[in-house]
Amino acid sequence: MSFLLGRSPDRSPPRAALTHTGSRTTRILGAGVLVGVVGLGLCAFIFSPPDSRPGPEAGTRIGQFDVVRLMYVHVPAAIWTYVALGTCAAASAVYLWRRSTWWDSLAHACAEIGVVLCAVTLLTGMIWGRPVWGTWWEWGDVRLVTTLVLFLAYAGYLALRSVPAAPEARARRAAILGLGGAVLIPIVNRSVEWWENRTLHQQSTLEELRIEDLTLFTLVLGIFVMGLLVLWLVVHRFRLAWLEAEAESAGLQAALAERRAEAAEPVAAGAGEDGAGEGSAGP
Amino acid sequence: MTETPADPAPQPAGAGEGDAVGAGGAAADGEGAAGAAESDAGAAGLDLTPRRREDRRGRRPPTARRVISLLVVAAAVGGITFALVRLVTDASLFFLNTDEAVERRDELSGQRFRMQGTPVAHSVTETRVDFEQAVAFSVSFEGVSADVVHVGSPPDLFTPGVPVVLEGRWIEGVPPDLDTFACGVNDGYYFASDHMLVKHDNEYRDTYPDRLDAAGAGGAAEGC
Repeated sequence: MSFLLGRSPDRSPPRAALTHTGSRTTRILGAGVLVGVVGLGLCAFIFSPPDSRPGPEAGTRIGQFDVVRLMYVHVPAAIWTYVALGTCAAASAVYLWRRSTWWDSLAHACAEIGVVLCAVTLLTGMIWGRPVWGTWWEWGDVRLVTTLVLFLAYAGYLALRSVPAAPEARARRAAILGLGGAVLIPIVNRSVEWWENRTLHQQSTLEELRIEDLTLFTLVLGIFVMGLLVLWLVVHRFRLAWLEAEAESAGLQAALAERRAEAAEPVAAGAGEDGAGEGSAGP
Repeated sequence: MTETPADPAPQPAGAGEGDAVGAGGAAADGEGAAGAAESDAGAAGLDLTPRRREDRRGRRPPTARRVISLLVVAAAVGGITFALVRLVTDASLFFLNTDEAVERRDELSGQRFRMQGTPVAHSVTETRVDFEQAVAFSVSFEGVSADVVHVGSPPDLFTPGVPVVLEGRWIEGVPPDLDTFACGVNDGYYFASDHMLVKHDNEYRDTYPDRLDAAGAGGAAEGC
């Protein structure tokens, strides 16, 4: 991870090295994502078959038909939502222990990507639900509502991060929320098992491996490609968060330098020129 | 601090909370940055009073940013509360599988609840209830079946073999315009439903590969 994200400030400050978010590694990773997305598109929309099986009546077929293709985005987005927000929680825990900007930036980056993925999961699920279930949304379904709660909790985390505050105070309160919000992840993930036969949402297909051939391959490819995309996004977002922290720190240093310069000015000049405006009259 | 600044100008809202904004545009709460600066300033004799709003050089005042951010936080908390209340309210409606619903029929008399089951092959019949479009069929779960009349249009993927979740109540008797349920239980009760959702399972394999040939030849089960 240090190779991709830069070294922890505890060991070596990357301040001089990191001036933008791109690097050779991210460009290679980005190219891999592009190739993967094209391959996934071909498999999902052209090569893989629609979900269609013989029904119990002669000549009838049952299944999700072409709507199943949404699964190749929906399931990977859901899986990587858990990973991203779980990483945010883990980084938050380490931040509370080590108090390092590196871990705070990682938690911030993962939360932001996780919230976007969670939104993709919710939207693709709704688009899938309308033709398959016959409804866009079902308030009585535990999986759906807990996923929405997870999204709102981490959207609130991001909003809390944007409340103006000292970097340490902001990072500390965000870390507490980031860590606490993680309790929702296993609830969302296991809800279809814990409330089995009580939810509209189906149980996990991959855990029971009730999928095969090209459908299985496309789903695994989707998970892999989405993983590369998430890694690429997290690396860029981490570096951006790091640069933001650097800019903030530089701003504070500049402000202190400015005040030091003012304090070093002759007392007479200070008293005569900026006594009322700046309020820094010397004794 | 060795100096007490005399600033007659009123402090901008938020500044009193310790927003120290420097030329670089960074805002820092008094809790951290000012505290660090104070120790630094103790020896240097720096002016540590927060700068006025006009000194912030076009940057959005932290107060506005704080209000917007806190509103978003409040909206998230409100949304979570609303979602959980809706979940508890909706989930309070009994959700029973067909075998449980049949077993508890007397207890559920007149009560609205949800029932899950799989439509039985060859049982689906279109009918009308009070001039409204309806569909009559039977559902089964764990070998126990029940007859259903659903008023309204069923979902697109409604078909025998695909589980459904129905919302309604038990009615004793037979539905109007329908003497018997085709391939049904016909035990003098039916489930009157007005809300149907298709519950798709997690099966993506062809579990009955031989059935296609049988179906093509008309050899699949054609009776009840």
